[in-house]
Amino acid sequence: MNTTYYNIIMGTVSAIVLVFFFIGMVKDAKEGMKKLREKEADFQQRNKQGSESLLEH
Amino acid sequence: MPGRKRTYWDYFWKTLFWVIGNLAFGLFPLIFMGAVYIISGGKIYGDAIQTMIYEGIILFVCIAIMGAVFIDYALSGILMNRFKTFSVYSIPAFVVFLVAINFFLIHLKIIDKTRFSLASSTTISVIVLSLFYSVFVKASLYIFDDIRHKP
Repeated sequence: MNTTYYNIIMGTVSAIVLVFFFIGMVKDAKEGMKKLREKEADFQQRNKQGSESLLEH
Repeated sequence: MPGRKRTYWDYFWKTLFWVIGNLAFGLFPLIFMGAVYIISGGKIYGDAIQTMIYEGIILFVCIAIMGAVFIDYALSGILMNRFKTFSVYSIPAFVVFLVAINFFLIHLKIIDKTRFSLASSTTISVIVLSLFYSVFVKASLYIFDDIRHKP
């Protein structure tokens, strides 16, 4: 009986902790990928500008 | 591959490989004994494997990997709001508490060592929580590293 209670309590707490963790991590991953895309776009832009100015010279 | 945009899955697979590699090295004694046990047809290392599992080797390795990722994340300088802090700090705290309370109860002989068997809810919870934690937090760390090191 005690083991059953233990399993129920532990399972519930684990599930709650995992849900919070996933919400936090999904937000984090989205922000991270967005910043990465911005950096990549910026890098491409600067690369293009550099090539164009080199061709002009 | 130059020019190809990296997706989240690239980071995910990289991290999964990192975790599996670390687990393989951490659990090497157990894997070695298991291989010998299988090859010998169950004649060698049967009791030794049982003893190692009941002494909590799997929990040790899981906590060590989770701790490595947690410390890396804490030292990385990633800015965190309250919710993110809670989500990143809660799993290690819960797992450490769970393992500590189980060790204490085993020492006091309130529960027996079978609590650390492979099929017990404690072991399954610790494995699931620490693996999920390590994979997703390490993936975030890799993304952050790439952001920081992009020119």
